[in-house]
Amino acid sequence: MNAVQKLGHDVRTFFKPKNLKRRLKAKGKIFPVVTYTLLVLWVVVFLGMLIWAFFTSLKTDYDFIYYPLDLPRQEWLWRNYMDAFSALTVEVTRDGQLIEVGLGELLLNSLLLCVGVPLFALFDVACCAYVTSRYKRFKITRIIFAIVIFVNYVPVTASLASGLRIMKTLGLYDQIWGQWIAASGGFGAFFLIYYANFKSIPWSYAEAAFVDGASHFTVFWRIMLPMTRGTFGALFITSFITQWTDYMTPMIYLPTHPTIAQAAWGLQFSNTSVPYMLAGLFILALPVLILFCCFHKKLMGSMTMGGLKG
Amino acid sequence: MKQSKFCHEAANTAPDSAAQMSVPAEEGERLQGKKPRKVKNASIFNGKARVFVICMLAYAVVNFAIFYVWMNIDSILLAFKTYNGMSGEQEFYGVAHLFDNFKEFFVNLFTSSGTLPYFFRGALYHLSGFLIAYPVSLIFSYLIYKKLFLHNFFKVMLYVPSIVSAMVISIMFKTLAENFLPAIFKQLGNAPLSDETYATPLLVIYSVFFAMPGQLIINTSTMSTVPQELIEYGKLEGITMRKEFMHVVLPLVYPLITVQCLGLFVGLFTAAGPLYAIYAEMAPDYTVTYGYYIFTRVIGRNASEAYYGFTAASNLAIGLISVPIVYFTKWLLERFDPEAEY
Repeated sequence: MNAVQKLGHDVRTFFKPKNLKRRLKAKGKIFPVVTYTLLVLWVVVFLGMLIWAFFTSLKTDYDFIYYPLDLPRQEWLWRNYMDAFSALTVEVTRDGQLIEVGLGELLLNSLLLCVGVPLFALFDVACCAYVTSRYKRFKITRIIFAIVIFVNYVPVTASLASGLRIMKTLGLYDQIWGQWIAASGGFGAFFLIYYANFKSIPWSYAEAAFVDGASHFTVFWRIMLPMTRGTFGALFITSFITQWTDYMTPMIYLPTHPTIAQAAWGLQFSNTSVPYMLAGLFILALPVLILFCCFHKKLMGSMTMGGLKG
Repeated sequence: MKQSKFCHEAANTAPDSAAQMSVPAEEGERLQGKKPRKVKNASIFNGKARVFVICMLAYAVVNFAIFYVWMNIDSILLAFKTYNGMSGEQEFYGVAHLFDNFKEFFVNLFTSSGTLPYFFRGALYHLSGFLIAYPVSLIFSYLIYKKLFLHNFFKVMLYVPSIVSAMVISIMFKTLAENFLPAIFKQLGNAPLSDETYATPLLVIYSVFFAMPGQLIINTSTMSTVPQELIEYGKLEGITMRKEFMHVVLPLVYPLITVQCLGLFVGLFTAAGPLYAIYAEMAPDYTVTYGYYIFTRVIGRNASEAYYGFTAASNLAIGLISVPIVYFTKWLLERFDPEAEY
């Protein structure tokens, strides 16, 4: 047997199923190989879905209907994105009249929600987390902490109907500032992240400020809060992304103030073609993906502060 | 010296233990045998601090009282009310009919065209995501934690579905299922998501596939708290990756698993799944879950205030039914708790 034949024999022997299984089992490699393969498969399928959707968004209707699996054949219609941009509209009833809300107002509503809700919510959470973590001498802060744990970990959900009634009773229904108020509870999911953050800041900074005559609010506003700007930034971006892609909350609570997410969702039910619709979805997802690409380390890092120790 | 002790305490401890801060003059007077002067507002936790704490918490407490306490109380009371079309108000039933909404809920469950299948379907979507996808999500988190080849890339890819939004993912999946898959599998026909044979399996596949990333970040960060000495000791003893995962990592992150499992069971009967994103109000009956059914009674073209009492009663009844299930799950999980500590 010459060298080439020997190599071929060795390769065939190595990859023989019985030998491969024995070799993998002997080195304890079956588990990592199988699970890693599963992970790769998941990523391939998911990426494949995104890539197919992207290429479909560049097709003509003819290409889409007759060649759904292929790349665009007739032409690559980048124009679909321009057309989808202008097709993003929502019909609403205002003062008894049916009107079409255009892209400008959709963007404005989206930005008001995406910026206002996180600002209000995070400031309130910061206030609660700060006093709860640093003023434990007062019983109320310990009670508040217990309430936060209860709210976050015990499942009690009021019905949607009562939520709507309360919003209407308080005059917050169909008002963007109403959403700022409703979403700005200080006991939400970000509380624990901020709590851990404030606890990690040395109290000696505050003591030094008190000795210099600073008030409690001054210490909070000018010393402690600026030290959490990294956390604030990460949580702001996370909340911005959530609000940007949320179509359901505006649909329920802001019927005459639709957002761009609602318009993108509604494209599938209008007479637009599938390539248009996919282009509209990518337009909605693009700012989010850009933000994620720029800040993914901060975003994924901020979530670790709320993790549980085993 | 008390002052130096305070400085040490201030740098290293929580403020409540440093509350007895004294000013230098007191120490001198104590040494001379004199009774120390009480310096007003010597502690930083004085009346001004109390006012500060109240001001900082006031808004959050009021918000909580309205949007949590009042909302839940109103939801419970709404379950005993009916809609008066003349006045446009929700009014309490008379004593004889106080539980009519609950009666309607249970009667609807067991009639021939009732809502019982909706429960089972919702549980099917939810449980398939839990029973199949949750163990896989733990495995994926473990692989990321072990920093295998391309772990950063995989971490980002697993995180993308939660960033891009469930609505976008649902609609892309719908487009894939109704155009891409039928081109490959001709037996699926034209619109498999509207076909009774294929709609539910496809929705189950969706629930399982997109639940696989799970809570990746929380899982990996909790796994990273496993002491490295244990891992190294295991390596020296020659344990395989599977044994390390099953016998070292999982027992040490078991409290996290318990919390996540309980959280998953909470929405067992009320989860609407991706139905509204895919179908809006036009979901075929063979795909409907109870959560979706309730949602469309409150929001949309088929909604009416007349259904508010019924939906509130359904929510309450499901919550009461879920309580023993959640407690049973908690008991089961505690029964199998390895109580590993390090």
